[in-house]
Amino acid sequence: MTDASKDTYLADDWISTPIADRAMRLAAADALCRHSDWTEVVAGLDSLAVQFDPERTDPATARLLFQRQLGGFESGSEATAKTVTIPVCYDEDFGPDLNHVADRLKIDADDIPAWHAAQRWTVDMLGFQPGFAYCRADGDVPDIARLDQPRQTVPAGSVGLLGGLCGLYPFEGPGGWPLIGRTPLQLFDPVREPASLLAAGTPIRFEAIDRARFEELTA
Amino acid sequence: MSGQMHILDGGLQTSVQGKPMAGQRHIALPGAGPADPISLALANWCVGNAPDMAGLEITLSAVSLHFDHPATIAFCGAATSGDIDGTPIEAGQSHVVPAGAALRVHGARSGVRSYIAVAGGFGLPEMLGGTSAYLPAAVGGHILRAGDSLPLRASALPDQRTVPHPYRAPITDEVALHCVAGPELDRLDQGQRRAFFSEAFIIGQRANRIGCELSGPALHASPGDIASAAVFPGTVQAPPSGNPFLLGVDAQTTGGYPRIAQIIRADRPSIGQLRPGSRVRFIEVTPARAHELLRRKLLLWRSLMPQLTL
Repeated sequence: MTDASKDTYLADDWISTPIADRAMRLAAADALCRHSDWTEVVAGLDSLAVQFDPERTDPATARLLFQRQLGGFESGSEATAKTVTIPVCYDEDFGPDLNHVADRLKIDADDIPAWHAAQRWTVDMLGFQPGFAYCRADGDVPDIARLDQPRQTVPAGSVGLLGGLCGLYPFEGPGGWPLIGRTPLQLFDPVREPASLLAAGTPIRFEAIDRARFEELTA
Repeated sequence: MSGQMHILDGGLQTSVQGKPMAGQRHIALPGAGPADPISLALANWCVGNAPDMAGLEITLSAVSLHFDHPATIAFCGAATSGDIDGTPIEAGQSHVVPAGAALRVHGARSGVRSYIAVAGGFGLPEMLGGTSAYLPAAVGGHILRAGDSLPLRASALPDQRTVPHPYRAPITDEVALHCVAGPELDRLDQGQRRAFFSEAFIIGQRANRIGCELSGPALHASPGDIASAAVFPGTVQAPPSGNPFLLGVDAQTTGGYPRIAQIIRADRPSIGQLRPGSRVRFIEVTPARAHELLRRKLLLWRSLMPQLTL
């Protein structure tokens, strides 16, 4: 169980506590989402936050509830979510930074699709854009820095890589991650249930597709 | 009576804002909603709508609208005047716009945002628990421009109403915001912490629904970044530039800059009226005191609008 008392942060309508263990953090996030005490639940990379309605719960009571609920989670529990396969086209048009990334990973650019498919990825958190997934590789991967000059426009579906962290852009917008490819999947659709294709804790497998298949899937 | 409202001139930034989207931050979707929900609620009160009925949020400059059916409207917030086909009208009261007439709401001299409510509201569906547009991803709506139209819901013409005087708080460009300490406030040294809570900060040119940059005493947190963690509207971040950044209703749900303060819920509506050049002071309170300030603010506003929530 986690000792949420010492480092727990309390604002007037939200609470946050560090939880370094990913499996425990995601299990707690998933369970707290179903508690009516919390209006919002947000997993960070090493923390978990909840928001409460101050008209229903005063801050001190909310903190007690939060600590009591977190007390029930053990570390080491395994993710039970179903693996989602993400098709990616690694065409040069879609992956303008393939050579740069290959250089940093010390592999050939042509081998990136196979390397990407071979890693085991899990969604660590969602942030930045609705449905934007930060996927973490299980293995040890060298870090890759963000671009010195962020792009003004990164197309929707773009796949960015910061080494052991892979990000999927649901929406067109500015972005600073080196890009290696693009998925034809709609990562976020407000009228779909669930709206976000991916959730924190989702295991991910990447699968290479060619340009023709990409066009077919986006048609 | 129903019909259409047509945008003739959307000004700087006009969008539909009502009930914020709810319970979606775990998929990184902020609630959006009106940046100043009290002004929206007042406009709605004037036309007999629920406080969080969706209206138009307009920004700084004048807008003009055309109604193809008679409609009862009101506007509240930063703008104080307008006209219907050239006949002057005032903020804070209901007006009937005849079929075929043009409604203009004039630009704001202080504050930023005004809300135009139409009796009966717009015929738009709820999405993700709300009736608001999240503009950065165009979820639930988008920026409205000339040529756009919105369907109006049928409504009987309500009685004429004027916001009573005690509830007409003028919007000023000098604001004190209560806040609780942020999770990483201790990353500022003692002198910087003192400066944050004692000196005035000026809102910079980067100011929109996502947030506003503040200039004042430079604040350099050490260490300067955190593993991405939750942020909320009203969170004050300390990026490496030294200029604190105050998050608004459209801010993303997580961030990597130290969070030095959190504007309390009771004061968050004021963030929506901060314009470049506005002066802000930060006053530290405890979460328990923040709770009490919210209770008092709601007590005051609910004497006029019993259903208001903040």
